[in-house]
Amino acid sequence: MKLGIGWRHALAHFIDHAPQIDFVELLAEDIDVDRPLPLPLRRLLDRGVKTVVHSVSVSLGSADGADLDAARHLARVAEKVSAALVSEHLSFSRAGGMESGHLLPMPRNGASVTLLAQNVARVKKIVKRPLALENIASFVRWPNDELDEPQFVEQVLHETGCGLLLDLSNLYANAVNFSADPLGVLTAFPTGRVAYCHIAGGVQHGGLYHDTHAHPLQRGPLELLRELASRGIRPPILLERDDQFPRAPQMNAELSAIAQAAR
Amino acid sequence: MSRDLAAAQEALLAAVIRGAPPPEGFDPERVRALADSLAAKRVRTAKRLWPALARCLEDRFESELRRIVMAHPLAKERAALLDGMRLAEAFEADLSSDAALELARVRLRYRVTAEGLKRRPFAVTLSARHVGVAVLGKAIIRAR
Repeated sequence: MKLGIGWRHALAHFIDHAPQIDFVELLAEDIDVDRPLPLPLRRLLDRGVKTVVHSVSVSLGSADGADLDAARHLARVAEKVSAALVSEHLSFSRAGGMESGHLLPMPRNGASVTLLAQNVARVKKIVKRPLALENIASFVRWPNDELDEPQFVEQVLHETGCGLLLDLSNLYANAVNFSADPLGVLTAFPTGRVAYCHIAGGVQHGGLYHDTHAHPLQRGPLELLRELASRGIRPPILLERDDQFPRAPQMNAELSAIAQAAR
Repeated sequence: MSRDLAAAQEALLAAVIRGAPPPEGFDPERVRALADSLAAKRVRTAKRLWPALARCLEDRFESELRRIVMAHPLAKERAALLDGMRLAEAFEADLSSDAALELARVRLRYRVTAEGLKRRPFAVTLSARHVGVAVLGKAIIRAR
């Protein structure tokens, strides 16, 4: 099992001294392609640590079309760090000229599958690298959903030919917030197409599970990882932490818990 | 269908970023919870980038910035920095010397555009309160 972590400036020193890290995921939006890469990141690349590039702003699900400038930026970042793989979300974040800064769900129906297939095809021509698509967490659902989440994801992967970035914490959050059994949802997900997994901390607040990436890793997502491993599915797994960064011992403890669950 | 979906996406987005009424069929409480969580995220991100302003405004930082983020869609470039800049400018006359210096540094390094904040290739400032120079995003500035 390969273990990764989302590279963030605040974690650069920790990652530099974490020999258990096999790969890092860069946020495309954090990288200025016209400037040299941050020194700690250059050192990692020189050491042979593999990279994938993740994006949050292409808005693959926008009915107005994906943001092709963001896709070009993603391509340039991937080229700069020689990434083997890039990833984006099954969501939209832009509509009517407005940005949400957040990944919003699409209606889960055939029309959205078709739209995603069109937008993904355009983006794939630009990025020229394998693209993995990530399931998102959301508090809201569209009233005209016709498919459940695993069916929707499976159809999109089939139509686009993309791999799955399976976010276990997003899966868990949606299951809990919509009163479904997380293990049942995992069973229905197209886990045979997983390129890699995300896992992150969250918190229960106001009757909802919030996938914050700013709180400790919870038992629920780890159980999903353990379940995957028990079925012999051991994809690369990556810890995401975006805020309220803990000290090195807690980061190490979370990485150990992930490694143990994935064993 | 695509036109209908575009309009529906715009309506959902307006509800979560501006507090517009939720589109028909959506759970209004869930839409409100989402809007709250997005506003809180913008406030948290801006707070990290504006520590002196946060110290200066104390509790007002969060409440006033929430008002500002609901009134302004997220900018495409350096959105959190711009959110904090709008807040700093709203209280410009009352800023502590640290917070005023923080605002002056951002103004020196960046200019406001329709897309958000863009880095200035070169700039100098020589005001009654500050003197500074910025080159390719690096800035040296101090109080006079």
